[in-house]
Amino acid sequence: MSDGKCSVVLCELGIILLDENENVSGSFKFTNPIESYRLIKNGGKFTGLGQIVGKIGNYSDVRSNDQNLNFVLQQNGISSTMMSDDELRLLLLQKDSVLEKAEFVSNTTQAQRELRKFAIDLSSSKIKESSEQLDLHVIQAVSALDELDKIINTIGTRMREWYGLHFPELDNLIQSLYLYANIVREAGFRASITRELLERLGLDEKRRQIVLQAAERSRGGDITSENLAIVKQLAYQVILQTELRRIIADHIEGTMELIAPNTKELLTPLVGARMIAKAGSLERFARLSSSTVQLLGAEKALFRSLKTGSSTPKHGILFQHPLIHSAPRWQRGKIARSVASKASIAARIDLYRKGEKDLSLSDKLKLRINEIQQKYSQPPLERPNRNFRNRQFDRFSPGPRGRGEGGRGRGGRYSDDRGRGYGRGAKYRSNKKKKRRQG
Amino acid sequence: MNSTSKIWIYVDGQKCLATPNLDKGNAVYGERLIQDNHKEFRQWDVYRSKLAAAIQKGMQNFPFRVGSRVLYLGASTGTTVSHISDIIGNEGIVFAVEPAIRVARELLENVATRRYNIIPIIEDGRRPKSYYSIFGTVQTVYCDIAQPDQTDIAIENCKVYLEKGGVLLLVVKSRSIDVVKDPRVVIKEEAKKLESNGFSIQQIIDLEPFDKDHGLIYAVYSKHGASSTQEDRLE
Repeated sequence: MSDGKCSVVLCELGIILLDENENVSGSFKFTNPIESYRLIKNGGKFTGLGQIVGKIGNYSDVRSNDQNLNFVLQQNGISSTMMSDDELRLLLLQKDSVLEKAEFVSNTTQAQRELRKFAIDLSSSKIKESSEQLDLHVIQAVSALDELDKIINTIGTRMREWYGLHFPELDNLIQSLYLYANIVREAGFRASITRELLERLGLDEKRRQIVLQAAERSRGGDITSENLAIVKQLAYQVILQTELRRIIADHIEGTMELIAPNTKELLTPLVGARMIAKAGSLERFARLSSSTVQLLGAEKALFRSLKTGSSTPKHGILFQHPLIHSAPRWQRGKIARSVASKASIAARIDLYRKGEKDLSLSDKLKLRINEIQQKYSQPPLERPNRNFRNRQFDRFSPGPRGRGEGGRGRGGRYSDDRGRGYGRGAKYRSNKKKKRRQG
Repeated sequence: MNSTSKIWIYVDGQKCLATPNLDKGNAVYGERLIQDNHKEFRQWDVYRSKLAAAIQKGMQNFPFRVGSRVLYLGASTGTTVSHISDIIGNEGIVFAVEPAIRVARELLENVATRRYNIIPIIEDGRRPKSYYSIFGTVQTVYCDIAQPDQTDIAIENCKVYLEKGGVLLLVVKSRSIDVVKDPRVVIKEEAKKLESNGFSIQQIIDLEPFDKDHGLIYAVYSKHGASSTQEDRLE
């Protein structure tokens, strides 16, 4: 009995045992196809193969159509190998008739119907499962946060403008939109602004004095109570949205701690969440190379530089990282590169070690950044041998040039590394410039 | 061109593309429903569907007919899939492959659960053997995926599922393959790649102005998949 080949076939509706002549010598129909099929495909422990194991035991040469099915068989003490590619293909093409032979279905029309039902159920369960992933929720949260910022800014500016007709001096005295909105909402008419109110809102005595004095001598006109009621409503919206923003920011921080603690540590919660949002998911983010991480969000500048030979961007979303935007500009590129390299490792730890914190990463990053800050504490000097005309002066000197200099298609936050005079890009760039000047 | 003549109808004196609606009374993506001779048609938007754009731009042969078996890579939300489903009718079958969950959700909700000739497969086109619920060969492979290696993915899928003499419709999005290169050069290179893998190119259609930097390649598969690997080795 212990000779002869057989094939064990995992299909959508169950497991089928075929002998050498492709006859069905045993089968096992899943009671819950989706669950069982996914369990086996994901390399889980599938128990309940039942009597089919005994039947497979009669053969010496066992092959199967699935790596993970081999694994399940192994757990049941059966060693099996994969079918060849041609056999696999043949099997795929005859699937409906194999299902019929195993009596899982009574005819090919029913096979098609059952397979379609299976496909829809399995697809639905995949969608359901992936919609429960927390990183997708972080992506929505951080997008909501960015949109709220825009909304708060827009209606806040309108509120300031409108209330400014009544009390123009307040605009310069109160920087924070939230505070301004609170004053408008609680006091209304400028004459109703009281010392107690300002104290309650956290202003110090000196500023309280200034505001009250300004209210007394204001050059603003009177406002009707109908108009004031609307401005107050606007102010209330600013307050509500600002509070919602705070809730979302806290929520993002909490979720990031849960799903990506290392990324959060290195990139700050919001920047980390934006990165994940840009990449599409934590998994996709973890699969990016650190050079991509560095430039995530600067695609426009990157493709422009590929196309026209203008200078390459140094940072995308990463610019929002406090370490980078607070650094002197000649250090930013270097810091961005080291932050990106550590961030991509952090994301991989987050994904594959699930929530384990690794502090060595941020220590290493700190070390490297100290090194950069010491080594490049002075702005680099202009390279003497450059083809740029009109560029004899030190480009980092604070002067009347401002940031707009540098020609068309430049400027903006990603392009302030122009003038790195090495590499093919620079050569190409200078030729282009010449042509543009001649033309 | 008999097979395509059915999909041109006249609306308010204007000739436009439309397919007989398999899912009566329902529009998939907000397209117009047209009553014509007691039959309902769905207008086929050339700006939304690259297949429609290709027909508009003078596709010579049309591979889809009643009862066709189709493998569709990059089904997305199912705009084009729904029209192919209309054309092939309930005797035909479309295996719609789409790896992205977000768009597959709409494919399932609006198209696949409502039409009995569609089998939705959420898998990566790079692993054709991992598809579930697929069976038998297909007569046409339609591939519209924005990946740098889209042509290789299409070829892999054809090797497994496309029958001899079957048709591959490959939408080439040149911007996904190389942003810098001239689109015309890109599409020629992809066509060459197909030719060296046993396809003969019948027609290349530029989809301008409906889709910028896109082309559609109509190729016929002359080799049989299983033996092709051997022949490749001999070359």
